[in-house]
Amino acid sequence: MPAERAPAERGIGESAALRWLIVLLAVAIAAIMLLLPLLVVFANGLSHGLGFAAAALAAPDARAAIELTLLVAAITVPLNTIFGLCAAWSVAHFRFPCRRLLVTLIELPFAVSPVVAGLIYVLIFGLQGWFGPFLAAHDIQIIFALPGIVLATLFVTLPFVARGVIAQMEAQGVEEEEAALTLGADGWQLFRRVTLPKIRWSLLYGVLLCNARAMGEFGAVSVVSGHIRGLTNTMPLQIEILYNDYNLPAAFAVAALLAAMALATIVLRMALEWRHRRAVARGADAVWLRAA
Amino acid sequence: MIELVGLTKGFGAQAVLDGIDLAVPRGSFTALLGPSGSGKTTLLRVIAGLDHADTGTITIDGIDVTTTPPGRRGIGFVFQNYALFGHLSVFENIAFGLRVRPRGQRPTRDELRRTVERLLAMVRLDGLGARLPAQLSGGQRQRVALARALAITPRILLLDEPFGALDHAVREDLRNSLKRLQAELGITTLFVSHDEPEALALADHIVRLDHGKLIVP
Repeated sequence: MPAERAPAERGIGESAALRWLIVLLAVAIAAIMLLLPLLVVFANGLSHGLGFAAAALAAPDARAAIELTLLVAAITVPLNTIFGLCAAWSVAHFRFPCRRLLVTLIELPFAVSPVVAGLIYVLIFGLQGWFGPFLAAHDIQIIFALPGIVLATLFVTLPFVARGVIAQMEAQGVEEEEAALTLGADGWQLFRRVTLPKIRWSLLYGVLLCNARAMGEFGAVSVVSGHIRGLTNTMPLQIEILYNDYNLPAAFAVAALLAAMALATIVLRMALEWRHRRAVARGADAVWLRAA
Repeated sequence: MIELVGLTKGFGAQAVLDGIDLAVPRGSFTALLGPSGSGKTTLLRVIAGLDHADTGTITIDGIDVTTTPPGRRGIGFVFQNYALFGHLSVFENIAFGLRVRPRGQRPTRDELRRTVERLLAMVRLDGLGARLPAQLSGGQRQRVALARALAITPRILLLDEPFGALDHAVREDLRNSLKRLQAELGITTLFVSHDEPEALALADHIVRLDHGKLIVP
């Protein structure tokens, strides 16, 4: 046994049987709770054949839901990326009042139920809400329309980019940035040449997770969407509608696509990490950002 | 030449710099000595523009730089822990200050390569340009930090505990090469140290700081 593995082993006792039991337990739980449902979704989605699944996805309402989901992700992910970078930059580089409060506040969406988040937006922008009369008078629709769905998704996915980037920026300190400053770098050069390469992994991870959640969010979106078929239903809502209509094969077809989109995100991340590790092993720097 | 007039800086009620008046002669090699917490690193950072004084003025070669951003003060700064860019090769670390120059003042590819190679030779790191900082020894990193600071042809060189993180044998060697380089380049140099023998061996001027005040001998 390599010497560096000894402490971890000692930590959980000397018994090899116990060690294997714990490993087995973790693997079994992961397989039953995570992998099995995923396989069931794909198996069911394709149980009526590829042709049926394709037809279910091509149905007008399903297509509209897919397009809306992609549109919402395309709006919210860049916005939350920008927000996450701004928040991390200010927290890591400046000392200001309520700095710790800001960090805690960013994690609020993790603690608050998405349904509550959706309700909050209804209370603010809904017809009976604070801005309701004003919005109605100016013919602006937020609730039961795209803006509401985007707002609710923004709220729910807000911590994903910010959290990891804040942690990494704080851990790495500001010395390299200060060095770049003394060497004459302007703000953009500082960010592009020093900060971004330092945080690229937590940033990438955050963006991918944010994207997966933006596409998959149900609760908050459900409250503000109004469930107008072919118009304000995202994929998760469409799946629920199909399910409630007893159209299980179609529900599973859309669900399989949604799951596949999320999986693609994870696979992309693994591929980039693998490429990075290979590049490091070659003694070169990660190539994908340098080329940008 | 660096001239400091009436520099003060406080954190809360605590005065970190308490009325500093100092002239560092042009071309001199000056040591800033003092116990830890005496404000010497803060003073160095204020001169570099990384921290701001509450009152007082900073003049470099006759130009008031009190409110000039760090990158336009003509200062080369060597950080205590070197602060090398971990994701960039040694070559790119040294080239950084030249690459970020405003368009039009940037050297051509050939000029850049020649300059960096000259600097690598100057700090005796020839052939190590492709390495990453993590692949270097402490002494080598320190020399990269020095070369990177010198690449922008600064008027002033500031070093924060330049040998603090190094073992004895390496210190001796680096000390000599820094002294030789400084004499060759004739660059006005101010370095922070808490090691009195080291300061005496290296510097031609010594300034002592205690509790944010200069101690006049």
